[in-house]
Amino acid sequence: MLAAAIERQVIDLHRSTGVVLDRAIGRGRRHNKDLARVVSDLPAGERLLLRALSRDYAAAVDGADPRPDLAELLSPADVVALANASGLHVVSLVPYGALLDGPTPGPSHLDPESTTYRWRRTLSWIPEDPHLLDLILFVERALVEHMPPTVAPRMLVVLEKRRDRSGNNRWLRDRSAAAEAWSRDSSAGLARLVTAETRSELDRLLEPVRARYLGFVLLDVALRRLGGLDESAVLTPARAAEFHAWQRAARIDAATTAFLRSWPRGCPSRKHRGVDTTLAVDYPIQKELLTEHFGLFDGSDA
Amino acid sequence: MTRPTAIVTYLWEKHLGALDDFLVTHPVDAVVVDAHHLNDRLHGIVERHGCTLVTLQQKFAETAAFRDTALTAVGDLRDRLDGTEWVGEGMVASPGEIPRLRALLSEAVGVHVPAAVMLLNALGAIRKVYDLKLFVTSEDVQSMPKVATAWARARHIPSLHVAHSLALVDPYTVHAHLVADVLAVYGDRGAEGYLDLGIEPHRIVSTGNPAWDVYSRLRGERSAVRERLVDSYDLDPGLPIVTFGTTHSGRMTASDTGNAHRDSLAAFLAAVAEMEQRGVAFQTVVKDRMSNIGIGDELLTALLENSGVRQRVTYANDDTSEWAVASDILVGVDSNYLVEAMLAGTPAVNLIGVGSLPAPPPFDGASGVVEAEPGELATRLASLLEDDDLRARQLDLAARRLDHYHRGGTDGLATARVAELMVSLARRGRPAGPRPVEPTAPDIPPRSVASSVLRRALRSVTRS
Repeated sequence: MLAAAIERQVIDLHRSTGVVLDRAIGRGRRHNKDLARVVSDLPAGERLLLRALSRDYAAAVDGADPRPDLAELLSPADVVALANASGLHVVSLVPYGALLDGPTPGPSHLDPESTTYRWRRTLSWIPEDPHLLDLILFVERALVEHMPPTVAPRMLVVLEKRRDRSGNNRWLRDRSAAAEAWSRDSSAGLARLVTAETRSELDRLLEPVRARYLGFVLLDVALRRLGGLDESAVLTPARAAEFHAWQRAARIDAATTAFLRSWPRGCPSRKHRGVDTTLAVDYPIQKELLTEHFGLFDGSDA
Repeated sequence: MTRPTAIVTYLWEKHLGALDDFLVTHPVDAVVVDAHHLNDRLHGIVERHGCTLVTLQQKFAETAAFRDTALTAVGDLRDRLDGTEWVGEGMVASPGEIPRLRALLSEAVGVHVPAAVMLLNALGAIRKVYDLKLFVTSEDVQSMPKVATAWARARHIPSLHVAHSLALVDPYTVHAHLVADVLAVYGDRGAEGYLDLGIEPHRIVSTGNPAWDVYSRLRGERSAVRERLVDSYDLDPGLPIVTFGTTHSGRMTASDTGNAHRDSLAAFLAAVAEMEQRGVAFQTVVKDRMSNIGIGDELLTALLENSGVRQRVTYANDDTSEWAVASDILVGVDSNYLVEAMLAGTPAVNLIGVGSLPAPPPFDGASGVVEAEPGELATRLASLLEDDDLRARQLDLAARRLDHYHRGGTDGLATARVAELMVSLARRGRPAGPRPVEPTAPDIPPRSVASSVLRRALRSVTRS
């Protein structure tokens, strides 16, 4: 349901009178034969929308050169080569599906989070909770579609039937320069994308608590994946404070959990009859660590 | 000469049915228990099976060896605390915080480490006398049960932790581990948090909750139970009952907001007032815990004062499962009580956004449990009361999904399954009874079929 909704949005936004090809394009003779047939049937000047999988995304997630045998993986350069060979003009390349699975089989930039049961349980509310889909679709159309193809596993390629080698090559040069600038400074790239309206709309979409949880998780992942990103570019000050408090709570939990096992290291005498006797200290001090030491929960009763 | 056999139990009273069943199939000579866990039910079970009852405290001894071990351990640990290497990452913002943290730990060490040594010596003494077949507990979080469970595992005595609740909230801090060999969870949902932690799947088994077997009978007695409660609590027999199960902030995780009891109850009362204004006909029960006697009703009275609620709100501490069965709606806060509602065939509403910072949803979208924030609670409650189709839909979803939350649904065989698991562990040292858990996520296809879903979706797009 999520996949269908995201696809529908991106296609509707870029369709105009275009035809959508119901299969992946790729490199290789088989794909070119199919494409040639479709193109020959297409009236001049008409648009053609093709689904493709992003080679740049796979490389970004894998950190290595993705499987060369996976012909469906395309880079912008591959798209241009295909367009030039088929007498087509490249109108645009639209990344989408940041929340969907990567090229199958393949890792996702949302791993390891997206392999957890808690993630799947969150997404299981999509049929029941329109707020979740609203948030996801907004992030797709306001942000993902305008980012380089490294950020999402899929892309919609919008083509027009007219020969335009020099135009395509120019498009590729501009595209590469933009991707280059983005990888040098994604924070600036994001700041250019996010207007005050975007920030305010995003804030509204983050108000329902389940959508807020999903949004915070995605932002957390994005911050870790895209170095140098600044969340104050996308969040209002109040929401950013909330996000920081949320992150801080997770950090405190992780710190106390690790601390309870690490603090007595170097004291072999704490072991008795095969058991670490400091296990007895964990529960009694856990609450004190949070309330007394970290000063959380100002206020009276629980 | 063979040693007499024994089982060591830290089971809570609500789980003792499993011990009873276990002893039928697998008799032992002695039942070893912490004196704090003694109760009439355990005495009854031990007597009926002709076992000797032994308390660990009987083996507590302040010997010179004990003092030596305890003092050495405490001394070495305090020496360690004198330096600063023990200060873990992320624990202090400045060196100025270290002395207080040191004092906190030092005091705790002085109290709890000697207690652990004493317990371990007692367990060792028991092990010399008895052939220990099984160690079973309802928790591995508090000091003594945690130490005892770790000892059983270290000594290769088969150990079982029967979960004392379904982990609707992912296990955090002191809960985020499995000390025993095997964890019995109520349903596959109860395994998810542990699997997300990286606990090996073969260590987790879905059995159902022995304490909830009662619902197999009780759910069929809805009218009779309702009549009884209406009578005892002087309720209106003609009005639907909306019951709120209270909660409290354990404050064992930084994700707690800290005042869940007060905040959630206030939010519920605000929803009650709003429904009254809309002219919805219903009556209200606040179902509190036994531990809150005295505090809970005082808080309710205080909150009612400025809440705008006009009706008399009934306060109850007892009859937990009866309220689950008799109510027309049960409202809870990330609570196991809502799973009891599912068992009882009662519409359940989870109040979210109050007790904790943004967190994964405790229920799943296909569970039939409504998850509502304070602002929408009145609307969601009113629609469940007034829209029969919606009510039927939610109940139907919950019935279909029940097994995921409680293995066997209402078959009343959880006690038998836990006992079976105990027997197989005692006999073979690993589970052979109920199947190891294979949780399924509803409606979200596994990653390998996502592309076929996408292809199908695209086909429908191009056709239109």
